[in-house]
Amino acid sequence: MFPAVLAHGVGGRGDLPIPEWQAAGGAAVALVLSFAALGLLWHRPRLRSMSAGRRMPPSTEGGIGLLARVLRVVALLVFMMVLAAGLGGAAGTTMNISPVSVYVIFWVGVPVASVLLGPVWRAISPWETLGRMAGGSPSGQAPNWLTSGWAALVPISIFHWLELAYHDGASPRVIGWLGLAYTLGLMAMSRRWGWEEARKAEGFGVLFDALASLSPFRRDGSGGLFVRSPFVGVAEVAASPALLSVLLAALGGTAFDGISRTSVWSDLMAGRAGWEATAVSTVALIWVVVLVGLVYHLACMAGGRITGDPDFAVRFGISLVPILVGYDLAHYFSLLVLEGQAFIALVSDPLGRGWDLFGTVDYATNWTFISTTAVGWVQLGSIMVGHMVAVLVSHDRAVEKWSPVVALRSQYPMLGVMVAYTVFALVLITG
Amino acid sequence: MKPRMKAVLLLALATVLTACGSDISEVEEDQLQPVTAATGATVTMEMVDHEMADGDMADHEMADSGGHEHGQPIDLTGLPVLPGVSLNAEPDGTGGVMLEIGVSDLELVPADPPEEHRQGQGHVHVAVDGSSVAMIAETTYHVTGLTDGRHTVMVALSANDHRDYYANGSAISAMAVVEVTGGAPVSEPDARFEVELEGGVIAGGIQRFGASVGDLVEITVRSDVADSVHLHVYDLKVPLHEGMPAVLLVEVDIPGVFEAELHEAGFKLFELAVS
Repeated sequence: MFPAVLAHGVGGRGDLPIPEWQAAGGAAVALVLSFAALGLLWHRPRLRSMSAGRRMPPSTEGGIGLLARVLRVVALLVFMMVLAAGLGGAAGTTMNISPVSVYVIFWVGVPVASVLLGPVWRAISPWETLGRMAGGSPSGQAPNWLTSGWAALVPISIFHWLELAYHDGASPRVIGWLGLAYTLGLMAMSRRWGWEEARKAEGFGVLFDALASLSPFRRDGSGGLFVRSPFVGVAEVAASPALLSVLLAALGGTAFDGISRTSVWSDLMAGRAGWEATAVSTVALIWVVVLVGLVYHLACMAGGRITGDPDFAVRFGISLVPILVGYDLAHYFSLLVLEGQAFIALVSDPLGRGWDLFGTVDYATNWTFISTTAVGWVQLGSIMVGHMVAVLVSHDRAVEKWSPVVALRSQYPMLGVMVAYTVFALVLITG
Repeated sequence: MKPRMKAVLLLALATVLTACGSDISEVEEDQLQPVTAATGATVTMEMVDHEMADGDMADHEMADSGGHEHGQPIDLTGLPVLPGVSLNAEPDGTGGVMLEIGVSDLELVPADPPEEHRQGQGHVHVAVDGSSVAMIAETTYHVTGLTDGRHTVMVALSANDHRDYYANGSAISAMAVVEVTGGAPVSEPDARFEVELEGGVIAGGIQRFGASVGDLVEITVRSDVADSVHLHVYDLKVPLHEGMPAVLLVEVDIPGVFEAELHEAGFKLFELAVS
């Protein structure tokens, strides 16, 4: 199983410089305090107006546009290398570039880059490139499962299952064949219905675009680049039931990853391997995803009853974006900076053939590159900041729609969920 | 039309890359096997060096990804004449042991690189304290560089493709315990832990062993099933023979929590928490 091989290299108890319950308690208090401060001071919506930002000078835009074009080509080459390695390279997980590329560089690196730099995946994604190439003149109306956005849930769900439940998810062959199938599927959809529609099935792009809304950089439809405060852009994300499901699925997956690192889980999995392990993990993964979704929906039902708003859950779905980023950082930051180093050596020998293309094949992972204390602080900080931004975003959404008094009242159930998620997340990450 | 052709070309390229890949890689995986088996001439090794570590990992993952039969023994039960092995081990007084190995009913064939399995042919695997030290086609061998004290030497018959020969439910092997003198002084571990496997089940569940950075940690694994133990990140891999404890000796210098896994069985064995 991939997590056993790569993801669980470093981390766990003892990383935090303070006891876990103290961290969780502190985070919960910080949340309640910021909620109270918002109720007192934040009476009208501000994020939407802030999210437009200031336009960058044309020279900068040109330079970044050129860089994006170069990176798009590089990304396509790397993508083909990873696909070729997956299908035909060495079968060993650590000898082949595809597992570390997919599970670390792509799945952790791209979200981090999106949050910091904006819609990078949209700019360089090989699926974007290939999808556009394949896109012909659309013949016929795209079906509802595509236009509604629900198709995005498919790749995200399969990916989580591979990463977290399937015992052989790190196998280069599995990655290679599924990657190829996904690529061909997207190209076929693009050919039939045009890339603008087919893109809605590219779940990773949908997810990463949502995460990129937190970035201080924004790109408009005509290629103009804007700078703004970090986090505010999330107010502009178009909420939909499909996007909400994608976010909840991703959140549930990360929560399950946390659970799978606990000693309780270890004991449950003791002696289990192969399909038996897969079966147990699959059931648990589904349970956790359903539970995370259920908690959110229950809080939203309560909020909906207070406000009489039937779209409550979808309206506040965007507040899950900063939480998801916080969890991703908390769980995978050390994976990115430690296990991610394997990419440096593997890029010289992607297929495991004894090549040394760039002279980096002997690079040995520096496991003490960051201290466990630093990892602990990043974990605590990202979970707290993620939830505080979430509280801010939902509050801003609420005052957009209702009077400050109703808005505050509508957010009590959400605050409860946030506190529960935070405590749960912190106890998991330290246990 | 033009962009579409580009896409087709790109995919064709990917397919070609793939096609030329698959058959060569099979060969290479096999060639990596002896690297693993030959790991380290020193017995109480602390860390496998980088290149060998790579071999280890490759081997380790290949078993996971299915289809690779490295650990599956060849069962000879029922043959009219079974091969046999005996061992006489004498310490040489300078930190080494002279081995005299008696092999019957098996033609000894050098197996580097590995050959196809042929009935009636094979070679001898030599292990000290659970770690493989040599694969030989001779009947004498000189083990050197041991520490003072008691060591367990084991010889086992193996096929040309390095799979163990088995009969009646156990490896065809011989064992000797020797008291070595004149070798390197023993460095006393700062922490000692033990794990025991009974019928493939971890006695007492999965434990988390704690140690501090800089400690010399010794973890002894006993098992009634043959397998091998792999400690991740530290990339330590020690074969586990039935009835013969495997000892992982490592100076822990990377903080964090690390998992050790049973290679063949594919499940977690213990955790090592270094702070």
